[in-house]
Amino acid sequence: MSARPDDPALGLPARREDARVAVLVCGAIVNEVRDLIARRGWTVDVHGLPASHHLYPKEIAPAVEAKLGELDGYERVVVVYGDCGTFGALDRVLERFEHAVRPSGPHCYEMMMGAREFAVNATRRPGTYFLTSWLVRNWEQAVLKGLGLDRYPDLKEVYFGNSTALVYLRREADPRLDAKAREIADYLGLELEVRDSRAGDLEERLAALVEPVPATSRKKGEACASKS
Amino acid sequence: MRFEELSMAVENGDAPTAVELTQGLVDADTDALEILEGGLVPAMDVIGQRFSEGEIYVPEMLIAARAMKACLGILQPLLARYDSTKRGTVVLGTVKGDIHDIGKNIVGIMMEGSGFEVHDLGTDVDADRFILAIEELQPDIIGLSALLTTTMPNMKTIIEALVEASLRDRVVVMVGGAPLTQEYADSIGADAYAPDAASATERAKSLLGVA
Repeated sequence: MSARPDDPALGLPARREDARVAVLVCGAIVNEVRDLIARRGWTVDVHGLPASHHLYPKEIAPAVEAKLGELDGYERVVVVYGDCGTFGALDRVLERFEHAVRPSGPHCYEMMMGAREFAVNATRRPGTYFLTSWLVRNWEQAVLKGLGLDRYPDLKEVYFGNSTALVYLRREADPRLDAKAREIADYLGLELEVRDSRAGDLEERLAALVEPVPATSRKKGEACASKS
Repeated sequence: MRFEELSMAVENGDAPTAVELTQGLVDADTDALEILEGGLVPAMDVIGQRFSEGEIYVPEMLIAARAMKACLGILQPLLARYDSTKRGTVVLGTVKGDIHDIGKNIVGIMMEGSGFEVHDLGTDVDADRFILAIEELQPDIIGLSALLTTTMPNMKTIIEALVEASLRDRVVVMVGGAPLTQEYADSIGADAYAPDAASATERAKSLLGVA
């Protein structure tokens, strides 16, 4: 099952009678999360928020807060975001909702690459630019338009001049996306490195929050380091 | 009138027009300091304000800063004779492990435009390079920048290295970057924190008593 990340309908699924847990997921990783929900057989409702909030990270915490306000009746809502450049604002929102938790981590790149490997890479290659399947698919809208490169193409050097490596954290092999990733690498003048990350560490971090659902909600913070 | 046109060109990020107007003013024997203070600084003040208020975003800020920098390139040789106008020397750098420099570069341009002598050490700068720069350049201020929560602690490492090298009392340490807060700046022993480029410049003037 695929979903368009910015499709408003993504946030309005039918409520399952037997679901006591909801996941509120960023559109940028909704396909990875749907994959692992299917693979693990979780009974959860999936709600979404547009990935475009990442263009202006100040929008993320208020958007999550508004959505959490709508999600009554769940024992737990797992907010599938990292800190995502909110610099603690998202965690402060989650503190106000007793039943809301998020997986630990600063952002989806760290979750998908894996914490240890990400830390090593950050030390060895601080100039690494990351692609995900969503970012490849939405490159024009999210990057070229989002950063104003469609209007000011010569800002490319300003944004990417310090990038020294390009890592594509691929959800799955897809000839169309693979070809586009190579085009992006050419545009950036960087060699493309492809990693089949699927959901990476995100799977186990989500599993710790989703399964098993206890009879009463766990204490805040258990199985989750919501402060990154 | 020409100053207003110049300001407008910079605000619009129209570097060719801004350069042409600046050169025209110089050719007409307009004082370089007047051009700076009458045309360029007001433009960046407006841009800084509009950015802070969310009226414009990063791309517009960047093209305005680029236009400003191009004009400064014309004026700087002429401003060199105004030694008395130099407001102080600043060394800037993005800390070790961090290659993000857009904010730092804008701070540098705005500080230059406000009369500071700016030395930019670039990105991924460790404590040793800051120490060398302090010894060589004798700056009044060092400005440390970080975009990542994972590299913010390197600011503290640098400040501790300055203490170790007995240089801490010789410079004002300013810090900035998206994840930073005043509380964090206080906790690592920085002298000042600025949330954006415009306030960094104002804070620097105020710290050195040259406002």
